[in-house]
Amino acid sequence: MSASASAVTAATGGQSLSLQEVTTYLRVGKELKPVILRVDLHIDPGEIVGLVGESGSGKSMTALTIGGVLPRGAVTEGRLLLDGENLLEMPRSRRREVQAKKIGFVFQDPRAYIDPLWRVGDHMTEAMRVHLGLSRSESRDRAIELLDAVGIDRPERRMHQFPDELSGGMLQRVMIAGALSVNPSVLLADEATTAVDVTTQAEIVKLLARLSAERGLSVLFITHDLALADIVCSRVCVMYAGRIVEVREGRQIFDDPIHPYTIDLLAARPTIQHRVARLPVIKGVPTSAMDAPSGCPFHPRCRFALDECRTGVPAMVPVRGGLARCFRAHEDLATLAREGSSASSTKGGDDAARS
Amino acid sequence: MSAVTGDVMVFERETQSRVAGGHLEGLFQRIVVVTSAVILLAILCCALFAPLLAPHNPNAIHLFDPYAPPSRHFLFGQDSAGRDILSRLIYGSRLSLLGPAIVVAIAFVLGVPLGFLAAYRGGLTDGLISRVFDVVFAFPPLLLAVVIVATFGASFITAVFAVAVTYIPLMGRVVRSAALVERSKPYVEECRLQGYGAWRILFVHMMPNIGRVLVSQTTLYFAYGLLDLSALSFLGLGAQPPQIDWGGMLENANQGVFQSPTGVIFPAVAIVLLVVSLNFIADWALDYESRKESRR
Repeated sequence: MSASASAVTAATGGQSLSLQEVTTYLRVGKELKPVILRVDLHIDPGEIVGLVGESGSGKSMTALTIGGVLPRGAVTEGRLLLDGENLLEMPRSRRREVQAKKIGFVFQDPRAYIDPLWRVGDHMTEAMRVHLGLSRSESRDRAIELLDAVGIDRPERRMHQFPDELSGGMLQRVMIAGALSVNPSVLLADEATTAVDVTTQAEIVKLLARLSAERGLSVLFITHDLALADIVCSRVCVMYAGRIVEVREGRQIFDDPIHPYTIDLLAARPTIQHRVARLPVIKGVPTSAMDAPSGCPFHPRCRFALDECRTGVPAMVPVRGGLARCFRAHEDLATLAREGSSASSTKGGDDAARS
Repeated sequence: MSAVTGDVMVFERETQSRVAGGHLEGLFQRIVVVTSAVILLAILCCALFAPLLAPHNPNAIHLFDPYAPPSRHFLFGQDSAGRDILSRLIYGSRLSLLGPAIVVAIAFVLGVPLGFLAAYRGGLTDGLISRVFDVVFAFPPLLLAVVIVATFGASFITAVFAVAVTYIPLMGRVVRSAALVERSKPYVEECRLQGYGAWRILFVHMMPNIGRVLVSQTTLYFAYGLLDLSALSFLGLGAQPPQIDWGGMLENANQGVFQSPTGVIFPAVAIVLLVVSLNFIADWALDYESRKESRR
């Protein structure tokens, strides 16, 4: 373990990542359409911040914006600060270099994201040879240390294997180790645990937490699994239609959700304590930033919507130790929702009994 | 209960017959592949050791025996000038192998990077390269080759370059579409995230991944190239005497086809054997690759 410890504790100095009012447009035909809108996000070194939302809410686009690999014709505005330096103001070549070296990516499906014809060892050492100029043997030694650090047994043997000889969980560890190979200060984990089974999920999450603490990594943990985000993250941001609608510390989001979207999202989760005849759903369909309605993008699906929600976009307001983007943020909507849903669920129960 | 057993039995029988069929198929394929390999090897040996193998000087003229049928001395008969067809076949294998090889090499070296560039860069670069390909495509390949040869004079080398020019866009277009598919795969995105240069992504990562396409196209174009070069030689626009190639032998023999068909038959059979064997070997190589992949 001492050999791996040296690789793991090679502290990166810890750099914080900040997004300030970042908006990204994609080119659709001749128009520019927003996919994320005025996103504010801050991750300190050693901190894991969760980004939660439905498919199409802009989670992955946020990650790609940070990583700087958007589709052709995309435009990003705002400030993207890595350790105080605005990446968006740098010349393109320098920005790409910083992004490649300082930002590591872990994806949902490692089998697709690792070149299938490359051995694990070649995959692991490539970035080190290209970006750090290490020799084959140096990078090999480091790769073995890293594989050991992410909990892969017999790393020397794994180095010679092909991706399809490894299990999904193992390959996800390889991907994490590969992402760490050039000593990045930011790690973007985009649904990193979605494709693996629950036990492996727990291990991967623990691994990310350990690596983040030991190496001072700023981790953005993107997921649609609220419970998982709650376990791993010190702060959770909820995203809807390209906007961050709620930011809460620790367990707050579970105990005391503010935004109607978060409230409904939590209500839609099955829990082991309560058995309900039918899980509540959020009516309507999720929308992306591209075709969001005017006003608050959630208003067509919101049961607390007022007239002003249809016209004005609510600003982020501090509420009960967190931030929320809702005109009625100061009211106790969660309690209102509970009362409303209990009324409707008893009604539903009656219906079920009658039929 | 009985119905269930019946089903199971049917299932078993089906499985067995499928397995048996698989074995037969496998045996047949193995015979075909081995035969093809032997033929290719034999032709290659002919090309390499022509002086040792040929019974006669391929250009020695026997004017008194034009179109002579096969005899003890001249196993495959004699052509219009009484030259030994067997010796000419053996010597002819040299240019008949070399010509398509050069064609394929040129098409590969220019077509692959152009196809890659078009697919990876997209936009204006893609438009430009693709339109140039289209222009070359607009002409029937053989006709274009004839025009080029007519302009620069008939010789083996001109014919080879002329055919190669028509093959570059063929190769380029296939590579472009394969690379387009490949480019959208996640591992390429990962490479871009890693900040690797286009060169590395294209030739170190993407090229091995479209290796199957490259191998199959290369063998296919070798066979086509052989046929096109033979056609040019047949028209008298390819190899010039005293150079020998199989297409030229066909041209020489076609006037006397009714006196002695051997002059036409043997070169034609040689061409067909070479093309067919190559295709079988290429098929097998690709199958082998996919078997290896599926096994893993």
